[in-house]
Amino acid sequence: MLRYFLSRLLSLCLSLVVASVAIFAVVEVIPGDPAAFMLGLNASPDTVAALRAELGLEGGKLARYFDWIGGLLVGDFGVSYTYRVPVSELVLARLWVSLPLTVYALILSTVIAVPVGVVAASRRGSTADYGVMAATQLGIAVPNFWFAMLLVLVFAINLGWFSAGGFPGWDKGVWINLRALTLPAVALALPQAAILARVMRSSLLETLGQDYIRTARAKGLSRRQAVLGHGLRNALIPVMTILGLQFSFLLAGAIIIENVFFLPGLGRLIFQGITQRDLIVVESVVMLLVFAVILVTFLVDLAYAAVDPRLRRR
Amino acid sequence: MLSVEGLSLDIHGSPILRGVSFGIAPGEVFGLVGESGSGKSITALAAMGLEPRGAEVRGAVGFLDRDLLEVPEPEMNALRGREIGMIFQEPMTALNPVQRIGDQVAETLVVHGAATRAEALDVARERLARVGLPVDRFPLERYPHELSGGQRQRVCIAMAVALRPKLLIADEPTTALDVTTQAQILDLLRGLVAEEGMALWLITHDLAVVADMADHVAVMRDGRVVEADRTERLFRARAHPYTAKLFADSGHVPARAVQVTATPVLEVRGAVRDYPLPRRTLLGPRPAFRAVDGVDLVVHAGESVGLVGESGCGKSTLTRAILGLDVLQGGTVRIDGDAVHARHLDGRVRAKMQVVFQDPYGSFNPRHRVERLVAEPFHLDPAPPAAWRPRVAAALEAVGLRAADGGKYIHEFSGGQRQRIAIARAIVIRPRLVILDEAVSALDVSIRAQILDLLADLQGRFGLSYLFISHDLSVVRAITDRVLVMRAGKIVEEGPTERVFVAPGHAYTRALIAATPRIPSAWVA
Repeated sequence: MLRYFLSRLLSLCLSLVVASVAIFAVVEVIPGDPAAFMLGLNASPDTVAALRAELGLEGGKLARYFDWIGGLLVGDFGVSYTYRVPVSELVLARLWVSLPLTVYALILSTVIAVPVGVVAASRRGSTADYGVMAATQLGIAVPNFWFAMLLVLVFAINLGWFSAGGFPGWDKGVWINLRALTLPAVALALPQAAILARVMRSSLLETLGQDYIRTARAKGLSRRQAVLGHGLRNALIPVMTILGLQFSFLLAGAIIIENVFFLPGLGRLIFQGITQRDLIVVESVVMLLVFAVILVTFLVDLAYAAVDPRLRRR
Repeated sequence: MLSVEGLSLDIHGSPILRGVSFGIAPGEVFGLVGESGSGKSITALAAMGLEPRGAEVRGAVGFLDRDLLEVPEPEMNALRGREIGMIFQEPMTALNPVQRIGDQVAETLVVHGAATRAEALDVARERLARVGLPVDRFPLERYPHELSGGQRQRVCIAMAVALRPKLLIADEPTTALDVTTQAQILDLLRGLVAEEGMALWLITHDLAVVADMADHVAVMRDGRVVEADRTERLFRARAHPYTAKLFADSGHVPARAVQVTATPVLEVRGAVRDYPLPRRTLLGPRPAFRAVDGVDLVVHAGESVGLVGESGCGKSTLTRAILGLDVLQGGTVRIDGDAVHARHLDGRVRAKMQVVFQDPYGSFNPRHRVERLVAEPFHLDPAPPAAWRPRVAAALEAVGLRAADGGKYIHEFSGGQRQRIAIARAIVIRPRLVILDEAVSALDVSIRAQILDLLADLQGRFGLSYLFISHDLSVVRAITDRVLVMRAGKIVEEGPTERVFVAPGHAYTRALIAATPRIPSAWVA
């Protein structure tokens, strides 16, 4: 188990190094002069020179890379050119919205998808199964912003249960913020739940065809006991893989939903960073997202080993 | 105790079982034999109420004064595992891979409310010890993947007999196991029957196993019981023609015209193959497992050589090295005098040897027509493409198929026909050597007899040499001139087949032969 843990940890560190080099190279090295790029075509040479100094672009590439990494390690992400505040502050504020939203959506998606997938698989070919397959097809096909607008129309405008958008801030209390995040989380969760339910269903169906399910039935377990006691855990690996991918996607990919609900999330920050050519923000946020993705992959790997003892020996 | 009466079963309208009737008395061993597809397993599953979806069952299955077909599902759940235990053919997949063996055995008790979890684990410990897995060597915390096939089958048996059922159904319990392991498992089952007064319903295709174990036997064919009697009487009389045919086929020895020359076709000298194991410490050296340890092997032109040994002895590794699919760490392989190297193997050299594997379906691409499948080896042969078709047709005819079969797909053929196609593919470029890797192990006895005849015939016609790799001693005895016995990577005995079988020199060979179940010779006389 320790070997497995250490090998995964090593792979995590290597991935981070490779990713940081790639991001650094793309942002700083390839497009020519970042200062000129950030300031646009009409900037005077003096302004560009001043920005170059401010960005710390004078000096060797290797030195600059280590400067950047060293800064990241101690939480110094540099100062945003457009906002004139430390990037770490910007990111942290946005993370307090995006992270809860992502976790909220993932919990919803799991809570919906797992039971639905289990019911569909254990009643294969029934009306319930066909219903689930049709509903999930719809869930995958319909874009989430359309769901979002529908939710706003029904639950915010007509019923008045939730606000139509905005984020009060955590200093105003937990409940009011959770309420503000509910509709966006539902809108994000539904398409993800549709995918997850299908994965759960097909994975469980495959598991239910295995010999050990027959053994369990021969031991006297009812169908239900066999499905839940022996089928479910064996069917979880593909589901966890998809969950890991969905976390990474939701963390930064919620930009449209953030816009629909006026949420100050990471997706919007990176979008603004790109449109305003604020390379410092872009570079840092992308690195942060990469870190999150790699960390989640690492956690998913550990979860695999927790579920399947055969993996612990590798 | 169990009486099956007029049991019929249709799946989506096609009849699978037609009026199957037999009875099992308390404490007796009942053998149900038949070829694959005869309906043996489905009979057991139907009796247990575990028939597949879409199956319609009629008739009656009397058990302890009740008709199991009428018992509602919750009561069947209470009955399964408590009154009737069941074990299956594939111990490798029959256990839940993510659950400890102790928990899996204990579950039988817990699910029937017979014990608390702690008590159940105590019983599990005792039952596992009884089936030969004492807790000091096999802790309850072991996972199935940490056990061998035979050990897993023992866990399955412990699970099935945890509540001391009145009947144990064993569906091909030893088919996937080596002969020595098979003998141990059969011994264990026999012991449990004697100790617990349990009845055993043994389902198998192997007549010798039944002869060895059963008090009564029923022979099934095409969903019907064609004959049933006391074992000895049935074996002696063989009244039904199908029973007589099964007997003849299982002991079939093909007529061979042997023309062995002194020219070696295959020469293996001092072959060594190591597999690296995971490091024990983080930075320490990687230990190695020596799968093939200094093997010498020669096959002469026109000769059939058998290579026998149990799973894990290195047969397959050696085969891969001979075929140039795997590198050796030491020693040489020569075919017709040309060296075989896995990393740079000339097509001309490779064309001299072909192989037929065990699973005739898994070794074909299902999307290609048979013609193309059989023509595959031609990429090794400089012959012009125009010459292929007649040669493919000739090869198909040589193995007893029609040239027109080349236009069909592989799923349109039965298992025996598929193996014929595999043989056609092997001989189509007229190799010097054909390696038969468990080539008849998956086949029913009647098909196996036909394939053995075919192999003998082709050898005579084309002067082929065979390297026959198998764990099945009776087959090797029937078709080879010389045999090598392999154990733990080494050849422990080598000699003319009859001599090795009649007067084995090595203790391991003797153990192998002793473990092979045999029909008492007085019964067959």
